[in-house]
Amino acid sequence: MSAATTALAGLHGHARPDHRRKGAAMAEIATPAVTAETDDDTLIARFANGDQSAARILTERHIGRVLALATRMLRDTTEAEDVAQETMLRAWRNAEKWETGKAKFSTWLHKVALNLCYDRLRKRKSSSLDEVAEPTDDRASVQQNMEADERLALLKDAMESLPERQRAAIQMRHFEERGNDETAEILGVTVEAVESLLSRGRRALRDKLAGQRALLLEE
Amino acid sequence: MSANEMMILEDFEERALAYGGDIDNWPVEDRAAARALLAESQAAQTALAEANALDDMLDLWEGPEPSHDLLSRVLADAATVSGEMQVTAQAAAPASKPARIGWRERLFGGGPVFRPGLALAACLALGFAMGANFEEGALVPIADTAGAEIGMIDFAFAMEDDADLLLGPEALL
Repeated sequence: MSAATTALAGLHGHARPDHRRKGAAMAEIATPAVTAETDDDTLIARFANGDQSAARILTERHIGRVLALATRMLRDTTEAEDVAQETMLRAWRNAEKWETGKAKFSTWLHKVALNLCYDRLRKRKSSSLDEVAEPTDDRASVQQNMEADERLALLKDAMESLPERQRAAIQMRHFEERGNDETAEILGVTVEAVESLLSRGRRALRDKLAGQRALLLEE
Repeated sequence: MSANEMMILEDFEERALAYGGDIDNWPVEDRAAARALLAESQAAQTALAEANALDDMLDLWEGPEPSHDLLSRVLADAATVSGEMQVTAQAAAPASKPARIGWRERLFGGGPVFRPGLALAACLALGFAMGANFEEGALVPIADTAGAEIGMIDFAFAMEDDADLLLGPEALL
């Protein structure tokens, strides 16, 4: 085994069975090491062939946005981290079946994350229905909110009050700067519906925050 | 919509509300007409300023940095799944067939084909030598027979030693 292959094996940090080792080593020699510039399709294919460094690059590239999406949708750090972990786990599990060029990996990943968020929001709703006698959600009140930053708490409350799909549309268009086509694909709606969701969502936010504008935008 | 077609204020406000205060983020086909209206209309400028203000408010909510613990969990999952995939691939691969043993191996065991041939030749040579000595022994007096037998035994041992050196001890087995 060459020094380069040995170094790669060390980088991967994962022992492979001997019967595949020889072929895999040849593949490593024939294909260059993955880098931060390697595209997602290549990385997912390399991961499917046992390359752990590909998993590391994919994680570093996407986990931040997935976590941000889940955090803004769920407004719960622990739950958002669980969603991010589950999303990436699904990516690993589907790596062998991934068809290059069929879909954009990032779009697929956000679609999975968004659906996981919807699932959790639905569970929250059903559990809150079971607990009708409970007092109202303390997060609804800014005064009772434990957020250190009151301005941020105002914004979060306003966002949380939006219907899920409006919130998701704002997340995709404003925070992630995705185009209408990709946003429509992630949300599973038409492009026209995306524009409608954005208009309604942002109008609702504007109205909710109208009285707080001075506070929100103070330096 | 082209720049020559003036966008009506209502459409402008709707786009600003949906896509925010940066016209570069609006649908490509609307941008030129929107800029044309913006240059002329005070109401359009107000709508864009409102949209910008909402953008600024939204920007207060920055995404969290992924924790080290989360990254570790995700990479641990990747290693686990990778291991599972390899186990599955190993189980799916056809089992290697046991090597077939040919008639030569069955008859003579492993190793080069000339070995049993050499051993056979050595045995034949020993047989001829013993036969020749036996006939000569019949013509000599009885007193010399013992010396001839010792000579034959010496010869046989010498042959065996030579074969041992050449082929190893198993060649004569």
